[in-house]
Amino acid sequence: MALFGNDTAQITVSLEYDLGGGWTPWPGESYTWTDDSPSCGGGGGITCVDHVAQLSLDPTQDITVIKVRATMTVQLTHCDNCYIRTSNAAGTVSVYDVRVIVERPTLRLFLDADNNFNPESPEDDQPQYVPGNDLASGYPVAIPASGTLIQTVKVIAAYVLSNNKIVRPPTGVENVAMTLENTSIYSGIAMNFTPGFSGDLAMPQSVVSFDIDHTARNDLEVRDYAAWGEVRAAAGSDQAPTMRVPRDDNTNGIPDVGWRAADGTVVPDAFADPWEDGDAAPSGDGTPGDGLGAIEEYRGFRVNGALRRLDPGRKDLFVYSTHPQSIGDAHSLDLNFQLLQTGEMDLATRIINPDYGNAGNGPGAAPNPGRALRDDAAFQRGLYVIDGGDSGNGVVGKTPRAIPGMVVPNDVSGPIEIFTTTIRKVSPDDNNGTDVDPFDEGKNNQTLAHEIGHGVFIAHWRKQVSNPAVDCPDAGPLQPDRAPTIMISCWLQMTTDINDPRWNNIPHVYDTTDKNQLRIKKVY
Amino acid sequence: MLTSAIKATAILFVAAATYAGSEVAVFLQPRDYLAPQYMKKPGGDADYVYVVGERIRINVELWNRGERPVRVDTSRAAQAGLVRLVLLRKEAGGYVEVPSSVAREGEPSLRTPVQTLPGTWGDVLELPFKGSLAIPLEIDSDALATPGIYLLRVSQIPLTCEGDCQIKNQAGEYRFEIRSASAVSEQIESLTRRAYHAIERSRVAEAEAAIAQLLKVHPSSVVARQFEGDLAESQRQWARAEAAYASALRILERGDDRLLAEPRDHGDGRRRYLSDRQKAARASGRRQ
Repeated sequence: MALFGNDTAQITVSLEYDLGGGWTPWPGESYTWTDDSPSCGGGGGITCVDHVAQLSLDPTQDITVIKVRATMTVQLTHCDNCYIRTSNAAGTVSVYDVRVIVERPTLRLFLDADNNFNPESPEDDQPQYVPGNDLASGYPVAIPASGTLIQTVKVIAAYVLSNNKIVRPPTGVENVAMTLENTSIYSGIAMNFTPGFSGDLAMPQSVVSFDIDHTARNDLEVRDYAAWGEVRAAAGSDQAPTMRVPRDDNTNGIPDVGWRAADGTVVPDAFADPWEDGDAAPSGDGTPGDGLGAIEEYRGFRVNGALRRLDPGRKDLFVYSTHPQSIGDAHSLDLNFQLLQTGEMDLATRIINPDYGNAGNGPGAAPNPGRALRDDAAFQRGLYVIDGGDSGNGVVGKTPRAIPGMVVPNDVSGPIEIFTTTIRKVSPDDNNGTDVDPFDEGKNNQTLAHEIGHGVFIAHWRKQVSNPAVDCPDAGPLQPDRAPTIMISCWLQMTTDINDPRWNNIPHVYDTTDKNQLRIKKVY
Repeated sequence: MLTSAIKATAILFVAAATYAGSEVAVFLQPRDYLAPQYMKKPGGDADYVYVVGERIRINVELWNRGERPVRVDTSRAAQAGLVRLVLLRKEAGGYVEVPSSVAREGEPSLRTPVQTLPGTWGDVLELPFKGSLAIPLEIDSDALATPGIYLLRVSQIPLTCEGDCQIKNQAGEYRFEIRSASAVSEQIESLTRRAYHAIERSRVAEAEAAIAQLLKVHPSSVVARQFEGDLAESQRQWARAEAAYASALRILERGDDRLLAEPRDHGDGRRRYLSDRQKAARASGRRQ
């Protein structure tokens, strides 16, 4: 630029692009020099030296139509000497390289557990997914008919950019090969529900084609409420990162998201040891646990026809009672009672977690150090309560014991018998051994609670030291003065008036001393 | 007898549409069952034990666990009309169904929280909240002549109810053992039960004969003396009852009844029971 006298000039340079829709100014890529500008100043996109301008393109941009141009205008804006001395202004600009740099998309997997996957805004359900659960409610889906699937979810493969945009697969890539590896093979589909399957997860298709929305979708069959496995996918030379279903970074078999127990408690996965059994409430005699590991409480049990995941913070007691009064007044024990119906517990063994075995991978698989530590206590037993009819000897309830002394469910040797006919004979109104009274629900409820109390380590209420004369003959030291409770024994000796309807004097509740004896887990 | 203005026709079990949220649970319960006095209790596969030839009596009970009343039409309740039962016998490979029949035995009874009412077949009975219907049935099968482990199971509940009403098979299994009558303890048990059932049904002559036969076979039977007391008490013969209970108590305390299955069962419960009955008979005699 050579200017004389008062002459002025201006040079303007700008970049434009055309992505197929017409020329568009390139934002920030325009600069104007005037006579008082530094001859080659900075401050703009376009300067006097080589310059690289960048523009982000839509992933769907057709690169064959891209055009870029530079435009320069040179103007002598004031020129006194144009005829005497020649002022002039000139410049050169060129676009000498147009490069389209394409980000290489990566193959990845998504889990769609609620059938609402949107390729425009892809969301992965894997972090929140719990096998066998309804994603929205957080509770298990209904137990399927025997031999059928619990649920089917989708595994979706797609090529994505770093901004989570799904893009078309690379040219020539039309299919994805998917494999399932390291799946669990638990016995049954829940802790007390057989039969199971040869694998807890399954994919019916090993090769899936990309669809028009650039996704390749495969069914993932879920066959266990604690199913566990790894999905791998490959397309062309690309390998997707392995997706573990459910997400389980610490591989303890429990989803990282935790689970929602049937009582509504949200249980985080904070279990370094999946067999941890530390149920704290109710505290009872101070023995934590209920004989069930965290992973068992997570996997869940068939209870009253539905799958229930449990709260590992609260002790559970499983009871199958053939009594219409179920467990009677035992509800006040404040345990999480799991009341079973026909077919939910083997009555010969009363084992409530028979299906803990895992022939595949994941927790419980052999060798299983966690389980081996407690092999002798691998099974937890429930209580089984029947109507014994008439005892014939005045006994109204009986908890059979495999060992002397107080017992936990594992040491109860058979069904607890409630002799309802005997109760009807000896309870009011007639209070004698021959006249059978109307069915007395209240007395059945008391007897049920009394015997169930024995089944969880609660001893008889004994007579006080202050009144030893009327003590029961059956073992145990006399206890300090204390009001009678539902665990009372020898009620026939409680009154000298043989016609007093003595049942009416028996409480329907346990007291603190009773509750402080409670224990469910066998201590070895 | 309970009667109802509503006589049902096609629907066995009727719950009006307004009875939303009802649940009826089905149970199988023993009826007239005396726990073993002389023979051993059944093992883990059975809860009840009978001697070959004994009648297997059960109750099918329908319990209303909903908050609203429901109505049960018993007009088609003959045999398996309300529930269908199958009898299975344990074989080497598992349980196998064996032919059986179910017969109604007596009238149904309706229990409410405050009373038990007799019903009549054909009635439409309304089950109130916590109410139940007990249907007495007797199981018959030639297969029961063979000792073994048996399972009576509710196979189907062909009941329907309208609205939000569920029928649930809550405890629809009855596990029992049939024992041969060849062993002495089983023979004595059989006689014991015969006497028991006669007393329960107030058949005095039959009861006396059965007790006499029991004493003939097993003269030191505590249970026979106890039953003598029970029978006398039921006839308000207090002195005779007191003497019988005292006799039973003496036999028990001396340990003379060596065949008794569990002589000191449950904290010496029988001794306390006999003692209590003796006192009761004495007290009643004094008041008389």
